[in-house]
Amino acid sequence: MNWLDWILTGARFVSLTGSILLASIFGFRLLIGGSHTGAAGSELFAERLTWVLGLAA
Amino acid sequence: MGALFWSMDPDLGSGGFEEFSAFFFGTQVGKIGFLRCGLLLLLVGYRAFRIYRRPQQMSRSSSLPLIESGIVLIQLVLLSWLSHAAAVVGPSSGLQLGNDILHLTGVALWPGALVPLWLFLKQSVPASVKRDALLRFSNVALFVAPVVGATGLLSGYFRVHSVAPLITTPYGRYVLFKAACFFVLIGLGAANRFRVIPGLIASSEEVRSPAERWGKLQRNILIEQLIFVLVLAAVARLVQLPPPEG
Repeated sequence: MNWLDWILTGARFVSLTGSILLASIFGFRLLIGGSHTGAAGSELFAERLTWVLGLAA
Repeated sequence: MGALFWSMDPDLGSGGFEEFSAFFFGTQVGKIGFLRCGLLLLLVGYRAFRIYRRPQQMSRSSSLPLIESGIVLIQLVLLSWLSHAAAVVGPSSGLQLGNDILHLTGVALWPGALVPLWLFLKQSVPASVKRDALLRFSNVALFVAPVVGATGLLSGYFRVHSVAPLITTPYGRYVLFKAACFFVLIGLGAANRFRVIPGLIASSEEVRSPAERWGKLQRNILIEQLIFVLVLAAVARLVQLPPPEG
């Protein structure tokens, strides 16, 4: 593996992780959103976390 | 997006703006990558706007979370169009792409959602609220985990075709590594589902040392997350490698 391969693999990893975790967080919010747990979970979905994951993806 | 572009050809773009334009608007990979990037920028831009504006100034709309969730799901599905499955030409191309989309969505729901679950359990909320969320997640995982396994197996068959390349090619070895990680995740998930969670679901009077049980659960979830990160790293490498001939 040359340096370009490492950079590409790293970029893919960041993009893939951001993309999947973004979907996971929104999925989890839908999962717990239908009950009283939704209010408690709102802190979890802070604007900045979604922002960072979106940029990473 | 950068990775997508440069993985096509590191010299791409040296011929001027026309080459960039031809890539992003003239190829399927470029168009899908461009669309996905646009959707993500839309989401990030909206979130940045919400950070900038005070919450009380924002109008409350019940449809916005659903629209955001829809955008997030679409960008995830579009990721499959940038994978090896989308490059398949032939009668099984639709099946392979559908299988890849189902696999990716399943991964986001089960091992992926371990991350928000772990963050949620670390919050200072009542134990009953945590138990409710945990039970919901566990019930979903019970159905999604077999789907992730079956679609992963099918995907492995489509790419590798036989057993020998699993050992003899780098691509096959990464697939084997993914499969091994899946079984470890299943084992840890089963231990949580059948040993740790039942003890937490029971009423607090019946549970001996609940703090210890919560600690054990969080430790297991942390280990699962670390394994999931290894799987993601393996997938990032798999995308760069050519599948075995056959």
